[in-house]
Amino acid sequence: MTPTRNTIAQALATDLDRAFPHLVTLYQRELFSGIRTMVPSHSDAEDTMQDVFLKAYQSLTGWGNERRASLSVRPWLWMIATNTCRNRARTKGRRPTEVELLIGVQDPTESQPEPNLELDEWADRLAALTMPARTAVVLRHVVGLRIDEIAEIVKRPEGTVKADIHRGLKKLRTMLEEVSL
Amino acid sequence: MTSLITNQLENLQTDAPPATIERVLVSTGVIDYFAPMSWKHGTLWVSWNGHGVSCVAPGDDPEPFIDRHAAKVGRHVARSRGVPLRLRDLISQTISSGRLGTLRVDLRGVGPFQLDVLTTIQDIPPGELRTYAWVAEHMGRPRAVRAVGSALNRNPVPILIPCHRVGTSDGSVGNYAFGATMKRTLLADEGLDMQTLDGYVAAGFRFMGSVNNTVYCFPSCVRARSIHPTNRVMFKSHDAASDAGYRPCTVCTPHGSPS
Repeated sequence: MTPTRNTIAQALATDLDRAFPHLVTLYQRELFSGIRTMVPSHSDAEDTMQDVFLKAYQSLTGWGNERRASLSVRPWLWMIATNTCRNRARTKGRRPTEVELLIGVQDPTESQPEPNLELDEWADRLAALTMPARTAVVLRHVVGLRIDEIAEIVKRPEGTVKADIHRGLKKLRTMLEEVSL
Repeated sequence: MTSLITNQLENLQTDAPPATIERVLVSTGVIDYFAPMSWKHGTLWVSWNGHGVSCVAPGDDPEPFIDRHAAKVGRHVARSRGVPLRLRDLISQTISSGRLGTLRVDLRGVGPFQLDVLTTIQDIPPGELRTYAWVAEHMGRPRAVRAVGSALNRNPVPILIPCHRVGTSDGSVGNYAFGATMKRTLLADEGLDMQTLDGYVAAGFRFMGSVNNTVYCFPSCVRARSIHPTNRVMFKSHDAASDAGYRPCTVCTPHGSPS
């Protein structure tokens, strides 16, 4: 039976290599959409997401069955994702990603990114926010995580996360109003 | 205005690029990529993942390679556009130098005995020929000669891990997964004089000694090859050599056990 979001943790605990492709299938759309709004370009998002899944797999291999079975998969993936986005933003310039180091640089003809102009625009706007505000807004409104889940992911109190979101949305509103004036 | 923004944010969903799952699974080593590359003798099929090169075979068509990969590795394998440049360079380097160097190989599916065999033979220098019995002796498993032979036959990464440098006890090259001719070609590429070797085998000569230092070697040992022709003496067995007062070379250790 194909694992669902509800059963994936148990499936990962039972047979990691069989379940892992399903983990990717279940979360790649959500991760890609959210990550795309936190990094400068489509190809950055692609690289970042590949690294997120690789790190996830590497963690899972180091864990026992019990730890895998009790994992809250979604917030855990987003914790890896936000850390990876932040670290990529810190390192200046284009460095080969973990995945590229392991299996080589991607053939540019392999994936033709379909431009999603709306996403590109929003990514540009969100880039103007502070890192905590952007992360909180994306996790809350693009991804749809709960405040308590976000608080755990970014390791900030719930009240602070709420304030981050509020500040972020306010800034976005100002930006949109300036454009429409 | 704020609810307009949050509504728009909530609708920012887009599909991940199609290659995502494949690249992720290859980097984690759950599946492999494969592709052909050219080498000295035509086309070499290579599969790899984040752990290294997992399977190699020469040949014109992909089908035999896919079958071979299925038998030796057993993971799902996806066709890639080509072997990544860096990996291609490392493989070419390994083939031309005869040593793995920094090239990584994925031997996760290999059992402990076979792993021991494959590790042992990596120390055989390019252009030199040892025997199955020598490998068995070296591993401290002198009676496992046949098991060594079958472990080498199942080598998932031939050419890179040099099972072509191990032959039968009479000094001939023996069998090879890709035919004895390919095995001879690979050894000749590495500088082994096949004609001379054939001559020794035909005459029943298995070892070569030097009258100067009374040391005997495998004829392909770097030391044996440096013995001046007038100082050479040939032996048909260990006993013949030791009866003549010769001791085994410490470099090629023709008696098998590590010094």
